[in-house]
Amino acid sequence: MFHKQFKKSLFTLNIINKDFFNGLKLFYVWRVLAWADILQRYKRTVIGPFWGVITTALLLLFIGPVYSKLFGQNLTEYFPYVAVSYVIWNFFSTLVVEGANSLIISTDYIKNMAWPFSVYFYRCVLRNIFVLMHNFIVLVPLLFYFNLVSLQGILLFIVGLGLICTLGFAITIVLGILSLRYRDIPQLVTNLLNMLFFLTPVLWSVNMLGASSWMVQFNPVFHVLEVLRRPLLGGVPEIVSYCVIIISIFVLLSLGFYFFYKTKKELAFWA
Amino acid sequence: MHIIAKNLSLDYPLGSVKKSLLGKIFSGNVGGKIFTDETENTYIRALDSISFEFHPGDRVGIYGNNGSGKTTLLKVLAGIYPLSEGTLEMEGCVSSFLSMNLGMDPDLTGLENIIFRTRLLGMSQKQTETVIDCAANFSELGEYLDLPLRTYSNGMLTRLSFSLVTAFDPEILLMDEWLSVGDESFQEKAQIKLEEIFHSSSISVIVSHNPNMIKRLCNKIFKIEVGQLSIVDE
Repeated sequence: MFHKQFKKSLFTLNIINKDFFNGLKLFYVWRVLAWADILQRYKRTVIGPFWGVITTALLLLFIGPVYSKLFGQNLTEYFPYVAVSYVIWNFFSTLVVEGANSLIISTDYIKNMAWPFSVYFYRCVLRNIFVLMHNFIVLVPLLFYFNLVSLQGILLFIVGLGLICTLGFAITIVLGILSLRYRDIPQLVTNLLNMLFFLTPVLWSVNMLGASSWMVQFNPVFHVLEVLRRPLLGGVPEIVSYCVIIISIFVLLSLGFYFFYKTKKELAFWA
Repeated sequence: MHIIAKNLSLDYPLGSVKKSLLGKIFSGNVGGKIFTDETENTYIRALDSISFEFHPGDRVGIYGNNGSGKTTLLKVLAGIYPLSEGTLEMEGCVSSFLSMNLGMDPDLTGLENIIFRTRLLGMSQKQTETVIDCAANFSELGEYLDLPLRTYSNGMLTRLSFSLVTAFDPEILLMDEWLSVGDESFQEKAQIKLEEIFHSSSISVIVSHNPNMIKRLCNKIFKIEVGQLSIVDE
């Protein structure tokens, strides 16, 4: 009995392992697809992906001064805070929305190529890393200007980015599979994220909540932001934030693999 | 190298579907049998207990009406659809592009589209150059290769995609209606090219609704009807 159970779980692991590991080996495929996705967005423009950079720069240029007045904050503190927060919020929320669409936008390939499904999950995460890197063109000079760059910060940021990308990957698997079957989910996710933008300290900071600041601890996206923005702003994230992220990764990745194992045989038909 | 299928079946899940009275009265003869299981899920039996053996040197042609299961069978062979029942044993390197226009971007030039394809297949610079030469020569598109695809006519587009899919030579070649392409002069060329790659790849499987074409090109001919395969000629 036990032996049978063990054999079955080994078989399950093998299916998951095969798809995700073989997908990883097809690095050249998802790299090409991810980059093509970005070029597609800005097709027939002269400066291409740099439009994304200009959008971010312009927005920050106006939001910074106006909201620092609105909230009665010191501009030298508020400006880098809101710049970093906004870029990271954009990175994460876009990753989640596009994660939900990861398989839907790939239906042509799913129905015509025998690639492992994980290729489309990797493609989604990598595409968003590319966009984040573009936005760093705005952030890096700003951080140097406000003298916030340190070796510790860079190292912590890299660790954080690794964690958040893994989390994003897990979310992509879960939402990607669910959305392929139930096409209402991407709409729902977009709506929830729009709402979360106002509930999460992106434009405002935690200390503005005063005595109620403990409330943000229950917002998981707050921890996502903290893990990435604190290092960039010259601080160290709280241990709580790392714990929340790691637990979320564990739960969501298990859930994602479970969904994948259960639906693998039908994914191609849902596409 | 071989492809061996034993009692291969494929049920295409449709989720829960409400059947109209009209559909029940006029039972058509297009497509596979539609059935509903005990959990109220509806399926199409797209392939029904198919068995065959293909070996090197086989030029397999399968013809059938619309919805008879031709493309579904190719997709099973390509590893895209999982089987519902039976076994499939495949040995050899299978061609990757079932659809001629997959991934083609109308805003990229012909040349850029060729390069995009080769990158998706992980080809080296040298292999890419060979493919470019091959496709450029065969399509006879000349200067148009440097223009975006949206400036092409339909015929020019099929010239490009046909030249591109035939520029690779896999061991096992799967083709879905690649035959009716281009104008008359190109059609002739395409036929010769097809015969050439038919002979160079070990096993070729082609599906079409046109039996004459298949009878001319293939040495193993099947007919597919409502998901059932029957041999016509060997």
